[in-house]
Amino acid sequence: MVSPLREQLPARLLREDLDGGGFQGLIISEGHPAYEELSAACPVSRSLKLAPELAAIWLKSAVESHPSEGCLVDVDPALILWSSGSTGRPLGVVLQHHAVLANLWANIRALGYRDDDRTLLVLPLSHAYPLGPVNTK
Amino acid sequence: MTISDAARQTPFLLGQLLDWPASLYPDRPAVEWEGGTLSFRDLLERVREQEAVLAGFGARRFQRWAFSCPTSLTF
Repeated sequence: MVSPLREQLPARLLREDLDGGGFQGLIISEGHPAYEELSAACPVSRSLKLAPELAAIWLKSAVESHPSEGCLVDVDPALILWSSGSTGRPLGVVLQHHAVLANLWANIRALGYRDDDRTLLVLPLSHAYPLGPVNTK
Repeated sequence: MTISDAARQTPFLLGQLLDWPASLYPDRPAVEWEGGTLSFRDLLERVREQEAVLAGFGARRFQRWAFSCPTSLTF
């Protein structure tokens, strides 16, 4: 299960979201203001070059991780998206695979997407809305 | 195509979404940005590479991973 976090989240709020969400790992841009602090403070401080500008960090040891046996099914959680926080702290909303795909099919049907359409992406990918057009592509 | 063939090709997990266009039209552009483009075949190959890197790092299904990075091809 993955969760795109808001890009410009200050280090303190980023830590709060990570702790509250029970995340095992974090993929973060090395230019992020919290990168040095997080990679130094994590129980497993190994970091990995994932791409030129990204690093992966273990936030918890493998012992604390969920078991990995079994196959994924469509009712397993796929994403945690974050609410806007307009009425308080942003809340993590867990979406199952079938819910994301149902949204995709609804988009295709309602908006009449075709497979040769091109979508201009202007919103950040951590926002809920771009997921529809990106997945529909 | 039989109904069972069609059912097998229908993605039911988020991670399967790219398999479909990558098999139907691999050479079409999947992502375009200022100065570049990536076909569905190349995008899928890149995804598989990143998947292998993360698996080598110990990432497994049912774990929770967070992303905090700018909107980019890598995202």
